Parts: sequence; structure tokens; C-alpha cells
Amino acid sequence: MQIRRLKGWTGLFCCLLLLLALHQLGSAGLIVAKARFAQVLIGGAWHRTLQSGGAVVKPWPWADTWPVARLEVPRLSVDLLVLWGAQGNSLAFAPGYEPASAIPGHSGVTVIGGHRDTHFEFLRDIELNTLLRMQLPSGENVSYRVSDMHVVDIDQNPYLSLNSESSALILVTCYPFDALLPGGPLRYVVTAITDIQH
Amino acid sequence: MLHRRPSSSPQHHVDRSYGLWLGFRALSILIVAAIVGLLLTITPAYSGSLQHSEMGQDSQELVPNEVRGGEMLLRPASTEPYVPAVIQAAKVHFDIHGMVATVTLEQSFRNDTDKWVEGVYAFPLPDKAAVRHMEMRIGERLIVGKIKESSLAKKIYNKAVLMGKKASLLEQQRPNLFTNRVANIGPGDEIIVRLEYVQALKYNHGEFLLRFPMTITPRYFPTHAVDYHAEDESSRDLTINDGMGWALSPQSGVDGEPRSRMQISARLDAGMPLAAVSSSYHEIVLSRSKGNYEIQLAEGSSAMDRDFVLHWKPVTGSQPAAAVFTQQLGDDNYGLLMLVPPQLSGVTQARTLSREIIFVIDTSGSMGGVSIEQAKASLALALTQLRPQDRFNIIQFNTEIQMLFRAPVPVSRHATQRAAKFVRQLQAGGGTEILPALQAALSVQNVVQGESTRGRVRQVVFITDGAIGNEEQLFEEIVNTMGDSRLFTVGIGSAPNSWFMRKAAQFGRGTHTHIGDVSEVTQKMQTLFDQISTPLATQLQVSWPTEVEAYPQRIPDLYQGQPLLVAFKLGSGKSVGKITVSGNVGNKKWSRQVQLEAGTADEKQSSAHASGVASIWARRKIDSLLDQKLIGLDEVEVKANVLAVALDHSLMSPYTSFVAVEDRVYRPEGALLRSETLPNMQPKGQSMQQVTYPKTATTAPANLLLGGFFVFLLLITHAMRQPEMDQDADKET
Repeated sequence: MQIRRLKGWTGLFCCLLLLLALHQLGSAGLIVAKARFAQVLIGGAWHRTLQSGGAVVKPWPWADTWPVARLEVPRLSVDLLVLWGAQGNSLAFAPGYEPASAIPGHSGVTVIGGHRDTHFEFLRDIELNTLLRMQLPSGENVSYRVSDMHVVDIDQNPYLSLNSESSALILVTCYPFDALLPGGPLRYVVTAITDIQH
Repeated sequence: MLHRRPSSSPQHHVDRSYGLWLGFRALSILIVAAIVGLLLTITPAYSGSLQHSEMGQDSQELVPNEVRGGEMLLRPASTEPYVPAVIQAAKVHFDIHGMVATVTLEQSFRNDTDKWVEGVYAFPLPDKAAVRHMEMRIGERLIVGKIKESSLAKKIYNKAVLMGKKASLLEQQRPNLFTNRVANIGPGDEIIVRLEYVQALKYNHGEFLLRFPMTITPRYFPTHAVDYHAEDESSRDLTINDGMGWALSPQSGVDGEPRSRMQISARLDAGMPLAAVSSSYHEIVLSRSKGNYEIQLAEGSSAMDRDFVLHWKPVTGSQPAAAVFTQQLGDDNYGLLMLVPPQLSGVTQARTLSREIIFVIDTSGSMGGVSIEQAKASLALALTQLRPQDRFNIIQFNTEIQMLFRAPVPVSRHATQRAAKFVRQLQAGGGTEILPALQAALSVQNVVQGESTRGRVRQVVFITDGAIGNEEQLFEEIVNTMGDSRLFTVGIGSAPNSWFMRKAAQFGRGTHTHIGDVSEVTQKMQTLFDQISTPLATQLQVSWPTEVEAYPQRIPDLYQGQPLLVAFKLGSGKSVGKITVSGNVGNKKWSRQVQLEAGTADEKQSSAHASGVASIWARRKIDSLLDQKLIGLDEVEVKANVLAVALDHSLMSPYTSFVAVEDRVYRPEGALLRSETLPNMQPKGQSMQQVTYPKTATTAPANLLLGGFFVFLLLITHAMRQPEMDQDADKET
């Protein structure tokens, strides 16, 4: 009898564990799937943007964001579309352009943020002088070369300075790359300056 | 499942229970092990952050550091962390009655260091603010500031500083820029400086508007400019960074949020039923009691990176058409007259009016970021508003000027297309040399004069953030060369120099429009264009029943939706009569009468609405006196006149300051006093700026690990269940 009751309890425990496991793995899968699949939809929107010579095209009808640039890193075969806005709603689908910074391709400093565990995972492999290429809505291409990488503690320096003599592209992601929990104070900041040769 | 050998010996039974026990033991151990494992995986992040914060403390040097996952340099952000010695907090409250707002601004200076410091804080106020009261609070003691001539106030303050007394000095650097110095703030001390000003509200297109500036646009001083400010006291205290041409340190934005937040609250007694109360750039919470509105920020406080704008609209039908507020102060009576001319259909007039419009657009470095986009959007919209009978031209300026056409051209499809392309390609960069641009805009007139300027209305639309320091030179240019042209200024960005732009528009007999957000471009530019295509009331005159001193002395043209606002001073005693306003509205003569009752027994009813009217009048008189200096009156004379008014009404002016000194000596002899400049937030949308870092991590790794952990537990439990299965099998056999 005793054993039988135990069996009932363990069964329940097993079911619970199964549910929890499915929930957690499902959440993780959803995050990754969203990040991957959205790029395809955004790709379509970007194609239409290029065709129309720079019009704003929303990737899906209820989207509150739209692609503003395409970011390529040939050495790491990275090819990503960048969405307007560096908050959660865009970052789930693509790297996000910070609207307070310079518009991609214009003079000034452009800031793009991305999740360290999806789109911007490649930043850990980036090195000095890595070539970055950005395609603008007009179809033009701008090239950058990585000139600096460093880690910032946002508790101590809450603002990213946009003052620069030359035009630059700043990529921001969370740091360290293999940390488990989100919301940490460290950011990995990759600065790339305009490359004239390309 | 049944791969175990079935056995039925009693000993086996013991074995099995032992196995069960072992399983439980193992399970708990495994759980502990898994948790330890979990912690271990987090540790790299943790140690990373520790390493970094240690580094942040000695931020002087760059230390290369070995970090796994590639070579890289670990260092604090490019700007050195600024350790503030004095913490500044601010609170503002608006008490609004009818047309007048009484504003109290509280700034507290707290010293968390172990040294004696002096706090210096520069802050903006609305450019028509009549600052009339200042007090300093140290703990329980309250010291009311006294208005003094600036040089005297400074002497009193400096003396107090040397003697180790707590003191505060409030000075006007520019009409809309003030500095507050607080001396001898001891370790752990908190000093609160409270000041009060009144201002008349703006009423436009059936809507009241209150604007409170919260950031300062760094001013651009042309590096090769005529030494215009050498003699000018008002600019002496601003530090000018030669290399960049910026006044006020461009380092100003380094501060973090805690020191730059302001609490905002308001009490609104509009005196009429309201249809809507809203704020343009902040979320507000409204509560109503007895027809009054209590307004608070939804977040309690706001970062000081954008202006606070509150507007409210009377319900249709209850908009004011004419109103007079009077106040008795001492023996004198003061009043404020507001009158809205009748609306016109305006279409007929608009058709016949042919214009020459010169657009001047600022493409200097300070316009970078969002500002230039707003300016371009405004200009693009303006181009669509041109009519076939108009002529136009575009001038862009930064360090140099560039004109689209050599002379204004008639509006054609080809011309507007070329203009639109020109506008699209504009980029921000370089200095703000307004003077040559103004000269170009005004001298174009001479070129075309021979042709057909006759019968044309000449309008100059000037789009800029006004980040310049040589304002007076520009006014002189405007006054001397404006002629019959009208100058319309469009202020762009979070913190445009609205004093300059309003004044420029006043001298140029035009209007000033402020665009604080891209979303406002369409609406605001449309309003401006509706206005300038139909001047509504011209040659306005006011005749008074008695002798009055009224400001403005020369009444400007009124455009659609604008009210006439006149502040006046009556003699002593009772005066009742009718004020008559007359002029041309459209093409017709128009006049209107308003009842004036001053010094009567009915004081009670109007007093709440009218307190501050005297201050507003005095402030306008000071403005008007100062304008005389801009157009060439001797400064000594102007100063004497201004001093008389300012001291009489205890108002801030370029020649008067508030000073408060505590009698007790606080700072021990020998202890040094450090001066600390409190940084301002950079205006939102300017190119010299910072952004906050985005949040760039997902919960995926945590989800994945936790999910894996649960699967692991599941397997363990499952393995543990097998003995039970065995037993079931035993029973069956």
C-alpha cells in the first residue's frame, strides 16, 4: 500500500517535471525561432524597401517597426537585417537601431543593439579590423572597420556617448556572452569607423 | 523496463528498500549537485562584473586584461566617471490662475563629501519669466533673498563666501538663462533655494500653453566674431570653450539620471470649463476638485532632457474673446488686457496675396541628430505650401552659406523639385554663422527690388535651434535691414534658444513657432503657413480711458488664432471706463470695446486671477527698456531705467540679482572651499549627446538550462520508479 501511494506521488511529480521541462525548453525554442524566422519576413520587407528606393515597409501588418539597414560581416558570414528601435519589441526579431543616434549612412555615430544569445552572438568572434558592411535603404553600401572593443558597466556609465569626430557604427550587446540570466550591468561595445577603401 | 531479473527472496526485499532509500539519497545529492553546477555556470558573469567594477575605480589608466573568449581591452567608458561633490535635486510647481502662472522652483544642494563646497548651477527659465522672489532654507532656518544691483549683490556674496557664511546668489546670465551659486555647503549639509516667478500664459488657436524649459542648448559663439561681448557683463561668467566654440562645458551631459531629475506638479484654475488638459512630452496624471485640476507627472519626476509643456483647451463656446485682469499694488493699479480678434474665412485674401518667401535653414553641428530631420521635414512641408503666384528661395548655413537659387524664383514644378532635392541632401555639421545668412536673406531684396517686389509681401522663414551667442549683433542687423519684410522663426529641437527666436521675430514683426518633436512638424508648420498666408489684424491701436503706460508700445500684426496681449499700468485711485481696440481685420475696419474697472471694491473676485499682473507689467517694461539698448540707446541710461523698475518690483534683470546670506559663520577657519559646477543634461535629440544602452539579452539560455535540468530530474525520478515496476511485476507473477 505504502509503495503504491508513493507511486502515485512520483507519477504526479513526473508529470509536473515534464510540464516544466516542456515550458522552459519551449520558451527557449520560441525565442530562437522568433529570431530566426522574423529575419525571413524582414528580408521580404527589406527587398521592397530597396525596390522602392528607401520607403518604410513593415515586415508584417501589425509591426511597430521596420527594417532600416542590412548588416553584413563577410568574415563570419553574418547577414542580418536591422530594425528601427532598440527596445524589446524590435530586438526579439532583429538587431535594433537606436533612434536617438545618427541615421545609418548619415554623418555621426549610429548605434545598433542586439541580443547576445541570438543575433549578436557573433560579436564574441569579432576582432580588430574586421570588416562590417551596411546596406542602406537607398541601396548604397557603407563599410566600417572595427577599431575598438570594450566592456562597459552601465551602473557606472549609464550613457553611451555619441560624440565623435568621424562617422562610426557602434554595436552593443550584453556581456558576458555565456551568462545565464539577462539584465546584467555589463555591455560589450564594438566600435567600427568608416572604411574609405571599400 | 523489465530487463531486471525478477527475484522473490526475502533478502531481495531488503535490498529493494535499501535501493529505494539509496535512490532518495542520490536524488537529493543530485539536486544539490545540479544547483551547484547551475551556480558555477553563472560565476563567469559574476567574476566578470567584479573585475570590471574594480577597474572602474582607478579609471585613470587603461589596463589590458586577459578575458577568455578572445583578446580584448577592458576599460571604463570613454568618458571618465564624474564623481559629483554636490547633489542637486529640483522640484517645480505651477499655480495657474486664468492668464497668469505663478511658478515656484526649488533646487536643493546636498553635499555628500567631507569637504566644504560651493555649488554653481546654471538653469533655464522661460524667457518672459518675471523672477520676483528667492529664499534659502538651511534646516529650519529661512533666509529671504534681497534684490540688489548685480555688482553689489556679488560683493555681498563674495564677502559672505570669504567669511564662511552660507550664502546664495541668483544671477541672470541671459534673459532665459540663470545661475544659482550656493556657498559654504558643509559636509552632509543640504541647502534648499526656492525661487518664484510669474509669467503670462500663451493663448493661441483656442488653446492655452505653458512651457517650462529644462535643458540648455549649448550656445555657439562664432570664433572670429567681433568682440561683442567683451563689455557685456551678462556673458562674462560663462566659460567659453575656444576649441569648440561652445559656451557652457560640452562635458555637461556626463551626469547620470539621479542628479538630473525634476519633480513637476501643477494646480490649474482656468476659470472656465475645459475640454482637454494635456502635456506634449510627458505623461501626466490629472485629478479634479471643484473645477481645479491637480496635475502630477505619471512617473513622479522627469529626466531633465526635454521641456515640460502643458496645454489646455476651453470647451467650444467658452473660449475667451476679451478679458481684463487688474491688480492693485501699493497706490498703483496694474492690468492685463487680452483680446482675440474675430476669425476670418481668409480664403479670399489668401488668393490675392502674392509673396516672396525666403527659407533660411540652419545646418550647423548643433542641429545634428533628430533636429536636422525635423528641420528638413518642416522645410519639405513648407515647399508644398507655396502657391503659383509666389517666389521663393532657400538658404542653408553652417560655417558657410549656400543659396539654392541666385535670386528668388517663381514657383514652378521644376523649381520645387530642385528645392526638394536640395532639402533632402542637407546634412548637419560645422558652426552656426547666422549673420551672413541673415544678410543674404535680407539683401536678396535689393537684387530683386528693381523687378516686381512691389505688391509682394516679403517673408523670411528662419529655421534654427538658435544655438548662437552673438544675439545682439543679429538684432541690430534685423532692425536695420529688415525694412518691410517679416521674419518668422521656427525653433527646432528640445532646447532651442527661444528668447533669441522670439525676439528676432518681434523685431522682424513676425511670429515664432517652436517644434519640439518630429510628430509636431506637420501640424505646427501647417499652422504657421495658415498664419503667414493670411495676416489677420493689422495697424492695431488701443485707446485707453485714462492715462496708462502700456507694453508692448508698438502693437504687432496679429495672425489667425493669435490674441492681443497688453500689460498696462494705471494711475492711482479708481478708474472705470472703456478700452477701445481698433484696426484693420482682413480688408475691413474693426473695433471692439472692453470694460475696465480698476481700484473698485470688486477686488476680491479678481485678485486670485490677477496676482502677478504687476510683475508681468514690470517685466515687460524691462524688456522694452532693454530693447532700446539693442537699437542704439546708451547703455548707462538704459541701465538706470531698468534698475529703477527692477528694484522697485524686486525683479531679476541683467542688472539686478538676488542674494541671501546667513548670519552665522559655518565654515571653520582654514578649511578650503571647492567650487563645483553642476552639469546639465544634454538636450534630447541633439548631436552632442548620449544614449542609454539597450537591454540585449534574452532568457533563452536560462530557459534552456532550466529545461535541461527538469529533463534530468525527470530521468532520475523515472530511474527511481523502476523498482516499483519490478514489484508490480513480482505481484503479477
